Amino acid sequence: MYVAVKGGEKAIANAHALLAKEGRGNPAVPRVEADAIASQLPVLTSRVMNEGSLYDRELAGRAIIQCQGDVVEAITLVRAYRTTLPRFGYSEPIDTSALPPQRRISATFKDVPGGQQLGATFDYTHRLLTEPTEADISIENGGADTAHVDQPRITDILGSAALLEPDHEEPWSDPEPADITREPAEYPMSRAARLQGLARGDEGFLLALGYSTQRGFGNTHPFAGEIRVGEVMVEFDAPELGFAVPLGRIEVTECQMVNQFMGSHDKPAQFTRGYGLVFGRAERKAMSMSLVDRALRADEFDEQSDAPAQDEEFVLSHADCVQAAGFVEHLKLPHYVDFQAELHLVRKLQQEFGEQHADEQEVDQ
Amino acid sequence: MNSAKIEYNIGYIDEQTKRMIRRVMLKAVAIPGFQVPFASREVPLPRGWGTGGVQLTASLIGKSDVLKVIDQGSDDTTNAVSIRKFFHRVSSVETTTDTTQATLIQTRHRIPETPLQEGQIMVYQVPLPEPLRFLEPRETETRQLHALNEYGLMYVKLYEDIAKYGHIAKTYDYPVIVNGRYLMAPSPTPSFDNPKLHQSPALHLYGAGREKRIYAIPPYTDVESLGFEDYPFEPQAFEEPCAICGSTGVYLDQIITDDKGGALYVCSDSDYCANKFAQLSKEGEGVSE
Amino acid sequence: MSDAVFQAATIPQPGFSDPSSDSQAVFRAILNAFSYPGRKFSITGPQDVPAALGSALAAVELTLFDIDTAVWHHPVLAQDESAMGYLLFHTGLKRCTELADADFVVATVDSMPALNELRTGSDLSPQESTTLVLDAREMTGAHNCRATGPGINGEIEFLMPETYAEFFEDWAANHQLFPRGVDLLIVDEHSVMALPRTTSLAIQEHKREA
Repeated sequence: MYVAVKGGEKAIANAHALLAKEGRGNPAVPRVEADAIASQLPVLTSRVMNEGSLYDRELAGRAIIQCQGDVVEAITLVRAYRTTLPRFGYSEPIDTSALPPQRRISATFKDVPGGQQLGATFDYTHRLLTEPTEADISIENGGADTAHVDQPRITDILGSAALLEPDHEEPWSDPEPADITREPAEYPMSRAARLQGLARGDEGFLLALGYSTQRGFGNTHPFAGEIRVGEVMVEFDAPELGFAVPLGRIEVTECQMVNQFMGSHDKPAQFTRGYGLVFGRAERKAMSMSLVDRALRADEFDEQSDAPAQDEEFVLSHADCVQAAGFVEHLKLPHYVDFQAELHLVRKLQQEFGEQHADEQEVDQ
Repeated sequence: MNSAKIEYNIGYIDEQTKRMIRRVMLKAVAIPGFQVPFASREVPLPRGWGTGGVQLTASLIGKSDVLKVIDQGSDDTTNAVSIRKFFHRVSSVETTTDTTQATLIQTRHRIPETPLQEGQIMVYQVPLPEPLRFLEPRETETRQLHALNEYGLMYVKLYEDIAKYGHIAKTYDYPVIVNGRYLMAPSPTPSFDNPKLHQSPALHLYGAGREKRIYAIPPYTDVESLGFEDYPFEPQAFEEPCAICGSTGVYLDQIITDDKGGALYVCSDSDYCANKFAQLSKEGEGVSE
Repeated sequence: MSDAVFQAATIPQPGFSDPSSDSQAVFRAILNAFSYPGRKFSITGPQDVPAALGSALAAVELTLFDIDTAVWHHPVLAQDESAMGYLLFHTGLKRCTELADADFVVATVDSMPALNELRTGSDLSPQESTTLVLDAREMTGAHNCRATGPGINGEIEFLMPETYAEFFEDWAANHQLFPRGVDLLIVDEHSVMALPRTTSLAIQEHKREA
């Protein structure tokens, strides 16, 4: 006599215990702590904060440890935690040019007001596996101290000469930006909503899409107008007080891509922009984001629009790693019922095929 | 760096989110079969694993509720166990496997065999809420088709099935028309379960978390499975009875018993099967005494 | 007077004693009302509330409204400092003065705006319609009605509070607009009853004194 399998709860508990054991690894090796992750793996931490849409290094570090380094799982954890946080209000727009950046480069001009500042970058490192030493971190102060030099945004310089499209149209009513975490997405999206979607989008997906535009699938002729990494002040305007209160600083990476535009029937030739802004040090993400942002603006400039990176609904509805990973992985869940329904159908179709085939043979004879 | 202790709200999601979801539910009930967009939140479950259902249940559940969670008809499948434990952890609500005792039933892929009653709420986990999605991948287009009450695409698909196979080749997530107006995906329940939706005394709520849609079939509402006059809708039918409880007219799972093609069929609804089996044993004892 | 000052000038009475559980229970009554039109479902609200609101209406507002909802209140309520102070303090709702901007309209039987003045949504987004919350504590009369539609097993008879003269014609037109249309939630001393846009009404018997 057949007895249905029971014991799901016990199996789950055992699976979790085994998972915890795997995560602990060799007990002789000290456990990694969240603050070690947050301070020594800042780039990884930034990715989790970006796609998790929550600026909190320690929580990101905790999530990375809990997920045994599975970044998408860590992002899912942070997102789920973020859901539970009450919203007290909305901060004032941040000003990315207000504070001296840690890094600021432009690929468009040899020298720019305020100078090129390399900052912390892997760009000129030799990609050789080496042993880290404490000597590596001593900084020689050879060059000029640029920390107190005014470093205006390159796009503002170009903009003042009307060579670059303005960052907003005139007249400008400065509408409240959309909030994709509070309002359901509807296509077509506003650019603000689109940028939010891209900011929390999967880094690998955006990298591939950005890359595809460079290979001719929606070419945007990009130049890295400016890449800036540094801290900015976040201010909160409390209505009871009547003025903005500083809440603290966050580190951001901003990329302004400057793109060639030959002009259209209504618009003169000028440079256009693609924009990327992300938490922490995440240069590749910011660059990819700005490439895709510009590609998605094809319709605005009457450009031919048939490449994947130019398709708003395609890009935005597949960019989220939490959604993508969840749905791909849900195929692991039992599908006995729908599979049984399909089995039923395939058997029926096979049977009908067999009967039909037999009939045809009879006719042939 | 000191690690602060993390604490969660009752029912996990915050009250403001619950209010938003509740307002959306009322619209969904007022517009039967229409997919109402909502700002779906992340919950502690991967997207695609029932996040829509979990958000609905979290916004519905209260002290006087008794919760039943099934997956594939069974209370004991891993995801059902996991979701039931989650609600027990965050809302300490009473849970059950008994369909008649439950006030809230969260489900994936099945409707219980035991007839539902007035006041009960079914919560469905929906992977793809758009019945036209595989015929037209763009949301911008399908929204228009719903607005225009233009469902020719779906009829053409079903007609092509008939032309090719001699019958409609859709076995689960079989499209329905709700209240004579909206084309609706009943989530991947087998078409066997479709007739249970028509004029059901219970409320049926569908939550698609990843796709950010909520829709509903109110109680006592017409739900018609698509078909043609000469090729009407035909739900699955099983020839043999359940190998455990002997029930007929129920949905069966195929159990592979050996590697030589041996198989037997048992109820997919584990609660129904256990009750029938208990009843059978009791009757058996009665006879022997 | 700005909302912030309004709020500070009064010390509002307490809201739900257990906001999470109490609002959950009220919501379930409202959901039941939408699911089974024409039937009354009882609710329990906070006891000590501004008189202009009353316990049941206060419970409905505390359950459904927050900073994301634009609500139009009938003039008597809108000008009642203690009632508005109470609602703003507990819900943070957005007050609106134009019916067309309102997600919810709260009115009494004699201040009820005509249904065709309210937002009905579009064919693409029929959910962007207004829900009318009718405070029916003080009825002048009622009509014995028969209703059919989703949520109703066959048909149901119930008493519809008397509002304005053309209400039944307007409701028939509202019903015809489906999927667009206004939904109605009727709140009396201790219960809620709903008429979603899908409900079709017929007057059984003309005007009965309440």
